[in-house]
Amino acid sequence: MSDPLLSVKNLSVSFQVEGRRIDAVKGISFDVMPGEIVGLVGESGSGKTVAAMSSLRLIPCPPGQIESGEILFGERNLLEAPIDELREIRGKEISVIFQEPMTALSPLHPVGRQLAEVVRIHEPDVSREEAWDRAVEWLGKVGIPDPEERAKSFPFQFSGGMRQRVMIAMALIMKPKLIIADEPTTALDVTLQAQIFDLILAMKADDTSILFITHDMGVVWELADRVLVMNKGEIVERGDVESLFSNPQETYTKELLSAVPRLTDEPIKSGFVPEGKEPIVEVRDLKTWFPVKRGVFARTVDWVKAVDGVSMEIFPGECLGLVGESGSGKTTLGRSILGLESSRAGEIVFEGTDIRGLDYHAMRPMRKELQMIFQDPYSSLNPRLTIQEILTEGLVEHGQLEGSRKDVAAHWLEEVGLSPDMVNRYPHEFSGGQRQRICVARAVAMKPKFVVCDEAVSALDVTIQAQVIDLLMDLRDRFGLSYLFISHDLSVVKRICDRTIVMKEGKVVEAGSTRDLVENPKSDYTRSLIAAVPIPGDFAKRARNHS
Amino acid sequence: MSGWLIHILDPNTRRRLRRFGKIKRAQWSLNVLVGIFVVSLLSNFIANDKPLIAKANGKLYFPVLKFYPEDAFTGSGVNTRPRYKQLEKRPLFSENENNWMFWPLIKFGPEESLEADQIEIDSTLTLSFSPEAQIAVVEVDSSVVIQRSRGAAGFYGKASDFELKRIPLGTAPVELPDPVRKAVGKRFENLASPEFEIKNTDGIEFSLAAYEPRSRAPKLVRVSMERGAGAGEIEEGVLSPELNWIGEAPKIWPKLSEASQKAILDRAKEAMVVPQEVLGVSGADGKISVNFQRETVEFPFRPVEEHWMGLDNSGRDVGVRILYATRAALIFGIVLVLFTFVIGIFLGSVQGYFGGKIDMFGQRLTEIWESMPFLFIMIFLSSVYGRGFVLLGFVYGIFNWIGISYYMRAEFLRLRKQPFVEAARVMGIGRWKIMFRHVLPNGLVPVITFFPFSLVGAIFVLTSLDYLGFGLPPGTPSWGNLLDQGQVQPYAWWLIFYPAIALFVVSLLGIFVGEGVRAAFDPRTESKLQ
Repeated sequence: MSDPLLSVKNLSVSFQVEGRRIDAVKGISFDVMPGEIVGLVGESGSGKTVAAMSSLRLIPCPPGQIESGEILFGERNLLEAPIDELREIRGKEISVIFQEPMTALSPLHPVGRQLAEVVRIHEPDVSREEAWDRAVEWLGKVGIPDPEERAKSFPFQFSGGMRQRVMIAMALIMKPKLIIADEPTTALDVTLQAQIFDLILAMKADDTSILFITHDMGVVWELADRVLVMNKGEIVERGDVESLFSNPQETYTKELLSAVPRLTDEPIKSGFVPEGKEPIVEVRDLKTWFPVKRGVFARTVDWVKAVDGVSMEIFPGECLGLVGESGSGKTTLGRSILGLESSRAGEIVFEGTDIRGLDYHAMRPMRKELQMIFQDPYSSLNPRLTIQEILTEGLVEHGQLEGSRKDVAAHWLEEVGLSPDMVNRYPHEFSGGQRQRICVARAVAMKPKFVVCDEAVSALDVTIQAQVIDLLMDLRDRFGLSYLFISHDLSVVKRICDRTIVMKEGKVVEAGSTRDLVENPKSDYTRSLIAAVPIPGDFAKRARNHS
Repeated sequence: MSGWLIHILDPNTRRRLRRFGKIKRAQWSLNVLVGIFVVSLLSNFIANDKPLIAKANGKLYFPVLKFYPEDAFTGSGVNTRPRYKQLEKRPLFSENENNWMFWPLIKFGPEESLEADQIEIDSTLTLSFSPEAQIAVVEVDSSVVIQRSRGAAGFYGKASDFELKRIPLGTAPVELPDPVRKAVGKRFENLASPEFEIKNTDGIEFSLAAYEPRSRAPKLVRVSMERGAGAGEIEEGVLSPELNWIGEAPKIWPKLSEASQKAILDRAKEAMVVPQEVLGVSGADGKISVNFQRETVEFPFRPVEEHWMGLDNSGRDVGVRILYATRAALIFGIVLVLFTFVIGIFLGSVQGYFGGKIDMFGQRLTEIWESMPFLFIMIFLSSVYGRGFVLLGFVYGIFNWIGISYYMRAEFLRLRKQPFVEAARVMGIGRWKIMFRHVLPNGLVPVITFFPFSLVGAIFVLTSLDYLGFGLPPGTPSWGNLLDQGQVQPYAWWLIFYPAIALFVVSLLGIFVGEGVRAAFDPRTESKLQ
């Protein structure tokens, strides 16, 4: 056994928030061996990012404070190294890949220059031209077509996946010994994620180690050699990936693993039969095009065809899945049905009436029938209203309030599994999962017939995700709701949706029963989508990366 | 909506308030500013030329709060406002022992012009000593001894010209430069010589006229001696009513003979009562004229004991006027800023929320409106409609909403795409309710952080308009008006200094508060990265 490359010993980090001390990391220790990929998994708030970033002292102090511990990188203790020495190590020997490639790149400089700058900072002897050449070379290596030209482009001229490639090039250009990857693929589609995995593995030199931070058990399964499971600032379990997945010891790990939706899971029984029913919502040849305007007079020169001739129907009590990569138009379709985006052509028939293009006044009475649950539970509740006001506002508006506002709000909190005495609290007093329950309550309280769930569970941790899904299914059965369940996550869709539609570039690629679609995809696109989904415990997928 | 105020005080806002409370300087500034505002709101009760309470003929009166005609006190049938100070002294009022008046702390009103004789000053006397110009002509013989002289006695400290006969020109204390001897010698040798002038070390100028050779040498040569008024400095000294020097005695004083000193003091004693003419005395270096100037009260008048910020050019107490002006400035500032904010928030919100054509045309109209010169329009309108609080406020309001409307528009553009706003739309909440219940309370950050700075800005605008003479109606106490007076009488430093201090203090406090608010709303300013 060789010496560890990075050795974290008894690290504790705290934050001062509004006068309170929050212990984000509580005395954790772990090693990263040369050439090893260590997965650091945990739910949001488990302290995984803080633990990794503290090793480069990349946390803001104040409010952060590294309380104790040692971080040995080779012989040096990074926590005590002078800041100049640390700057030398950052980027050169340890580099970081961040989650959000848009904010991690400077928007004002061409990417080639940013890459060349990294080279010149760490190797001042290298000439400008040589640094530029190296930047171009690395852009080519990470799979950016026509690197010489693209090096002159600005970050906003790249797509999300391409930007992440640039970030990876930036992390690898100095051939670091350790890469800290903080959820580098979470913002990306599964197909892109798979490409990025391949890229990271192909690029990494033999003795380069990767500390891979993620919340996604599937990602860990596919990539990592060893895994550390974090919960509430502590490492609860650690070990070799295969043995940990097949034989978890701690209850927390067991819960975590069992909550992960797998493409191989059996769907939840719904008892839904479309035969002989009238669809509640019928979309016919819907087109939502966004104009591209140019010139002084803002002439429309082109259209972005976000939704381009989509037809579908949703039956009462059905949960219809809508999947596709980002930019495929699935969210726009959901928003168009609710009139949040104005569509150009087609029909949206709700219970026999065409509601497409209805103006504000004509649409208002229909509003209570059609509801939406948004992705981000943090921004979808008005921070200045109490839960009581949030839950009853729509009912008051439509004159549907039965009983006092307080009683109604308390009733709905109970319905979604929260304590009814929380009605006078404000959203910030709730966790993400609780907030999403409130969002569900807000939508369902209107007694709608149709609810659009726009990535409603995507931002939640897996354990919470499973609970919210159960809640949604329970409410559907009790109130006879129909869902349009928009998601990028095929595993979730597989579990809950009776039928699924796959969208690509504004068009429907494939539609049909979810089971058929997953087990027997007809189009190449669906096939690639399914192939890219990481499945924890599926040795075929793991083998691909560890051959 | 009844709950609107409570929404302002949601946990987020309360947290910000707590953070603000921790910023010492801002919290302290806010306290002082509020203190100043409260005091200025009470100015009527602090400084007034009307008594707070008066009792006359068994009845209580509250002249500060209410108007009473003079008739109410005197039964004279006069319906104008009584002059309470005079009334208090009138036998009709004061003879009744049950009559009394309770005065505010400062017994002067903001519009009360005092008469010169109402200002109590210790009359002092300013004496100015100015040496007079001395011109003398002497005729000397070939050994430079004076044979004849006219007016030269003063140079030698002698009483008359006779005493100068046959003494050498260079007798002390007059020091004779050598070139004069040479020039005199040349003339006695009957040689042509040009006009000649020289000054000795004491500043006495000797001059000889140009000389043309004659048939024979002259017996006497004429030399002019001159000491200009500029040669000795004018000195001033101030005498107290007891005829003692206030401060240092002028340097010339000990050099004067006792007789001269006595003559001056005698004349000074009279000058304390009746203005006196210039007195001439002979000093060590010649004649000195002494001027006696008694201080009279002329407006604007310097700070004195009862008016320690001085009086303005109509005899009004500057301190009292500054107090009332503070009230005007703060109230005006707050009303103006609220007015502009209401317009700006409304127009910005509508443009930002609805977007599209409304935004497009709104923005273009705003840009056109923005290019109109506020000052010209203000000056133009005030010359048509006269100066007034309402007009000023109105014109300021319709021109100054633009800045805040841009911010509100941006906030609304940002917030209208937030999921919680869309959720409200999906629920079918009315548009105006969404705007003012969901969006506005979350977009108030720029409004609140701007408020202190806008307030300071509005106060500055008011002050500068008053200074230019286009602000509040004439006679209204205001800082700008005092500064304007100070410009006309530049020596009256108290007309510049005190209002400037008031303006400085209020704006500094306002800016400290603004800084604190900004920091309280943006906690990121405190964190740092290595």
